[in-house]
Amino acid sequence: MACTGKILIVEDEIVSGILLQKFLTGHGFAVTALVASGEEAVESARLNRPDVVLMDIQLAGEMNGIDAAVRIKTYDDIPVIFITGYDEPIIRDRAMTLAPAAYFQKPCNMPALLATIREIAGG
Amino acid sequence: MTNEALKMLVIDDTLDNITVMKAVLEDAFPGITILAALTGGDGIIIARIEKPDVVLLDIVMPNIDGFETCRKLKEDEQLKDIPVLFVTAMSTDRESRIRALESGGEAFITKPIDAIELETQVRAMVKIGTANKRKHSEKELLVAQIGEQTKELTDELVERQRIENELRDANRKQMHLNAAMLNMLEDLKVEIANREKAEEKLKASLDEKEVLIRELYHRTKNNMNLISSYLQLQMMYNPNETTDVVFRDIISRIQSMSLVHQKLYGSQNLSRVNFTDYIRELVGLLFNLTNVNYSKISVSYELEDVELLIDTAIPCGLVTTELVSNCFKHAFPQGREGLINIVLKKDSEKKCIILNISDDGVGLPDGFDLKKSPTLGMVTMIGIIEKQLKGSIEFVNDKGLKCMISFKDNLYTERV
Repeated sequence: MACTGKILIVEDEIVSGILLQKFLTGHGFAVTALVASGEEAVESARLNRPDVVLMDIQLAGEMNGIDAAVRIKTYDDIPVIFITGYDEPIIRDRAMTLAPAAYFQKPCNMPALLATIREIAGG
Repeated sequence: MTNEALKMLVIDDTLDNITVMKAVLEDAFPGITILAALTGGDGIIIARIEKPDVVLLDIVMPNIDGFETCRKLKEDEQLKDIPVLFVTAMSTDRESRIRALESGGEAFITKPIDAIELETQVRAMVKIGTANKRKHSEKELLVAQIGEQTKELTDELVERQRIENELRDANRKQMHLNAAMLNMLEDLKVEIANREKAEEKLKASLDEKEVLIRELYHRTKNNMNLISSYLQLQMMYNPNETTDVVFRDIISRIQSMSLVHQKLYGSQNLSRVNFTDYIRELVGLLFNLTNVNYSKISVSYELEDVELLIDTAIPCGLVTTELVSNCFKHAFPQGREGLINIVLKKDSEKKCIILNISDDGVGLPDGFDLKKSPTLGMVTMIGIIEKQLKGSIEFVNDKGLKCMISFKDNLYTERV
């Protein structure tokens, strides 16, 4: 199935990011970038305008995933899917205030993630 | 007073006079005792010894005359109450009468003696003497009473003084005690403050320890996931049907251990895992990892609330992974539909946990003894159950395969 969806992966655990990238490209998606920090995510989203951002919350650098998503949404309403290893109510509540497209906990249910991305970005 | 008890002392330097008065008195007072002295000095000595009721005293006597004798008698504390009756021939001597009275005499009578007058005067003297004695004894009684009362008062005063002293001492001691108590109170305050600080430090230290343990669980989980990611990538970069099966088994086992750490990280209790929730999430993970068709295979749960220590949860998770994966792989071949049933419960009497995993799949071939199967999964699973969990495992091959496991739930104690 040919997909046109462009995806930005923000993940500080790069091996996990690569796995995700491989999984998505294997299902026909284009991964515009795999970045490890919030700052890089904001910059990459501004330059490449992906259809979906897969955003880890705990990131390298000063900016976390939620703050990066807030910055991205200031110039474009790109759907954000949060994927986090820290499933704490306070983090989840704050992430939910941004009305994300979805919120997944690691290890990610890959079929469910794929279905969610297809729903948003087509494919 | 009877006559027998009466005692008269006659002091006269003329024996005849004494004899006359003795005769008159013995006549007037039968049974009376008459004492006699020829001089004033002897009279005083006899009076001191005999304590007569009345003294009849002549005035004109050699050496000590009657006045002097009377004065001496009246000066004597023990004799002064004895009435003195002067007997004198100087009836007309006015000055002598005044002197007689001044020297302390009670009355006088003139010679020659008139028996009736003497009797009358003596009776009057006896009355005076009796009155004097009564007065004296009353006074003594009064003095004694006053003395007694004074003594009582003095005793009371002494007692009061003693009590006051004791009270003063007690007060002093109490004040010292109060001061000591105040010091102790201050010391206690300091001690309490120190303890509170120590407790705060301890609590902060415990909080820090809890944070560190949570972080450790989180990082362990992340590292296990990283290993899983590597293995999954390996499968993607070097796809091979034979090795993929092995990789998937390994990934499942790693994920089952990672999930225990994830549950511990999210748990209030850092030592125990809610195994009921764990089983549901583990089965979800296994569905994804083994690419099972959700529409064909369903899972039903009968799970009691069971919490396991990490030492039990890890091996128990591995066993569950092995059994559920086996169901996915072997129970429903060629797209067969089926149901897996998972039962978890406590046996309070035997103090053990029971885990039953059954399916309505094809079951085992006749005569196949699963316990003797030499596969890695079976060998490790039976080893874990029997040697690590000190439990037992039974297989029943009837309309599918039923696996029944039981193991002790008190093998380990909490470590954190």
